[in-house]
Amino acid sequence: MFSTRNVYRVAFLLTKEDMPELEEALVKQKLTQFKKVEKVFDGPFKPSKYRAVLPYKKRVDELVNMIEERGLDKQVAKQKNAGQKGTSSRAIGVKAEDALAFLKGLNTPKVEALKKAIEKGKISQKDVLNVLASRELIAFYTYMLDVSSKGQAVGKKFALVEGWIDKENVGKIKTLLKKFKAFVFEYIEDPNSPTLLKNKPPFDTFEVISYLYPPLKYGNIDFTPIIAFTFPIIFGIMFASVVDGLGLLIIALFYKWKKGGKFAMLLIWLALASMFFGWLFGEVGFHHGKAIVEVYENPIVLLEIAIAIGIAHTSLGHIIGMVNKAIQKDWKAMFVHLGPILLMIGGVLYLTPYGTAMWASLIVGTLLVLWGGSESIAELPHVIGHVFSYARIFAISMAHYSISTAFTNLADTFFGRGGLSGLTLGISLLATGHAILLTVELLISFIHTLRLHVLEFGTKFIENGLAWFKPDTFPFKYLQSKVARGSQGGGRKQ
Amino acid sequence: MIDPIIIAILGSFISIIVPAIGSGYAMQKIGELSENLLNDNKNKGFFTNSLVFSVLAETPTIYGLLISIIILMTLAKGIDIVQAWTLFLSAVSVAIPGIISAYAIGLVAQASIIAIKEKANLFGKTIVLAALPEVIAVYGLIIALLIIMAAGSFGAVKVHTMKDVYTMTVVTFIISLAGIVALYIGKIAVNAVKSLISNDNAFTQALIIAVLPESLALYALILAILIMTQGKYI
Repeated sequence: MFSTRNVYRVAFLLTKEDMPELEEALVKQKLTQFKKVEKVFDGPFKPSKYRAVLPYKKRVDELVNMIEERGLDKQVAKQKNAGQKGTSSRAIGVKAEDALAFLKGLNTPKVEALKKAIEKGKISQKDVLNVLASRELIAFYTYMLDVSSKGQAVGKKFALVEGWIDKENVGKIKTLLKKFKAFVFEYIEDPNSPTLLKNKPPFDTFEVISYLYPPLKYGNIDFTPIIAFTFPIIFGIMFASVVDGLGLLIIALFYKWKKGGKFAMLLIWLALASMFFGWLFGEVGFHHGKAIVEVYENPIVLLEIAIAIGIAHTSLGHIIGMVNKAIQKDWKAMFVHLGPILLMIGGVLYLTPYGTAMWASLIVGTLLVLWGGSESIAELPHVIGHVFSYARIFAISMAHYSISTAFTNLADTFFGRGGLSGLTLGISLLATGHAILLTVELLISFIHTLRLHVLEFGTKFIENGLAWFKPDTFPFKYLQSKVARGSQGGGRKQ
Repeated sequence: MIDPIIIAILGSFISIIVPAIGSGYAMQKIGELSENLLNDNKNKGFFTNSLVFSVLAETPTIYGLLISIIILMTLAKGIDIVQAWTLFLSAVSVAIPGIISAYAIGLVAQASIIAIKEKANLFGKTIVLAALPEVIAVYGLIIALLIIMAAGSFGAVKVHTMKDVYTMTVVTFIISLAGIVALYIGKIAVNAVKSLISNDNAFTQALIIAVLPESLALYALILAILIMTQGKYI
């Protein structure tokens, strides 16, 4: 819960012949999907890009062993003795034999230069780790293997498979890859991964809403458990009615029975929230009844509740922003987030006799906002604006109540006439009124609840990530190498 | 002297017919575009999604209908000339922001329909953008409800003299003038929707830019509420 660190990056090499079987196994187990891609790999060989090879000696040894097992090194040596040159290898500016030497011996002048750079501390460990995760490194390995097999009538080509996978499935993938004797480059947590949300029931229902946000930055906290409370509360107040809530519940249950899924569950929760607030505000039946909290006879109370929710909700957004910044160890930004919260606390204290606390809160809050620079100062008017924006809860809830009351009163006049026609007309009017409420008002309440969550609440902490992770939108990429012909120093296709 | 009931009924008429002109125009444009794009099955949920946009354009009229009904219900209690003008002003408060808002929703909805035809997954994001101009109609509704409350629709009557009517006129003028902001929001939101077609990860940025002019309407709302608070109408 609250964690977005749920994805591993996986990259491995496999012989082409084994690919279909592995692909079938992975798709059958619903671990991922596959997509064959063509990619031009045309950059010249730059040692600086591959410096991480050096401390990664152990993995290089494994790779070399894989090459030797297939007898590729001998064939390259034979090629060298015969005076042939791997023209394709020149396409990226390195000879095949040099590449093998690079991998095996690690004693070429270029490699020596890199070794010295690391010893002198010119390349940090962090850089090394970053490069280890780079696609270029993997592409380079593939290239090495392909180059060494090209033209040798070996009959085997290698496929590089890379992609992201749900952390929970790594065990299954490992078992499969072991079975296929794939050469695995990495199972790593990459900060540039797509983001996957993994909440336990009932919170997972609200991932439907979370996925409507822009993708969260990998590593930032997952706010789904928070909106699992705030979304039904705000919606419930806007759509407060036991009768209409019950109508929505029936629709939601029917939808769940027919189609299932998280959206149906979301509707069920919203229906329950609507019924709860309907009971609380006295909107139990068709007529306004006894309320625990009377808001419709005294609508100012509802306006005050709406503003109070605005203060609490936007503050919560800033608190999530603070936590995200603390995770990123960006302490200044963390304290800048505290500024608007203090300003709002100061505003609330204005209504109390605690004058000193109010001024302290307002002054410290203002200083913190000023510390954040122009961007933070520009946000200052929104502190008030966003809170007042929650007044829409009042307006939409009042609209719901008034439409409901109007139709009930009109229906009453027909019921008062008596007879079958009066009864029929009364029921028809009630049905029409609540049909309007269950379509238009439901949509309005949902959209405005969503808007308050995305804009007034979400903009306080959302930082764009790479993308949302879904196996079907992030299939494993199957890079099949093929050297581009007729190019000296040109590109090659992978 | 005009009968108070006639003034109130005129208000009731204005509150529904004026936003309905905007909603009708927007729904016509949305409908025409949807019909033209229904000719292939590229996106299976397209029909339902386009209906949602039509319903969204209809909402300012629903708000108008609401005020209209409340005015008519208040009539049953018996009203004087001051209350009648106050009810009339509440109708204007919901009507003018409503018509502009409906027109602007129509603009964004048309862009959104084209966007979801291209990329069905944009529906959730475009519906939020299309709802942005609607907020101005909501602000109009907030003020209309507060004015109508002062006229005694939900409790004690708080308007007694023509001076109160003048104050309400100022409040109505402020919120009606702020209605124009819906048009600006709508135009920016159209471009925001277009930008989502090429990069749907830019949603937050696009949303923030589109919503910036809304602050101006929000200040108008705050000013209107402050005036009413100072006049002890709230």
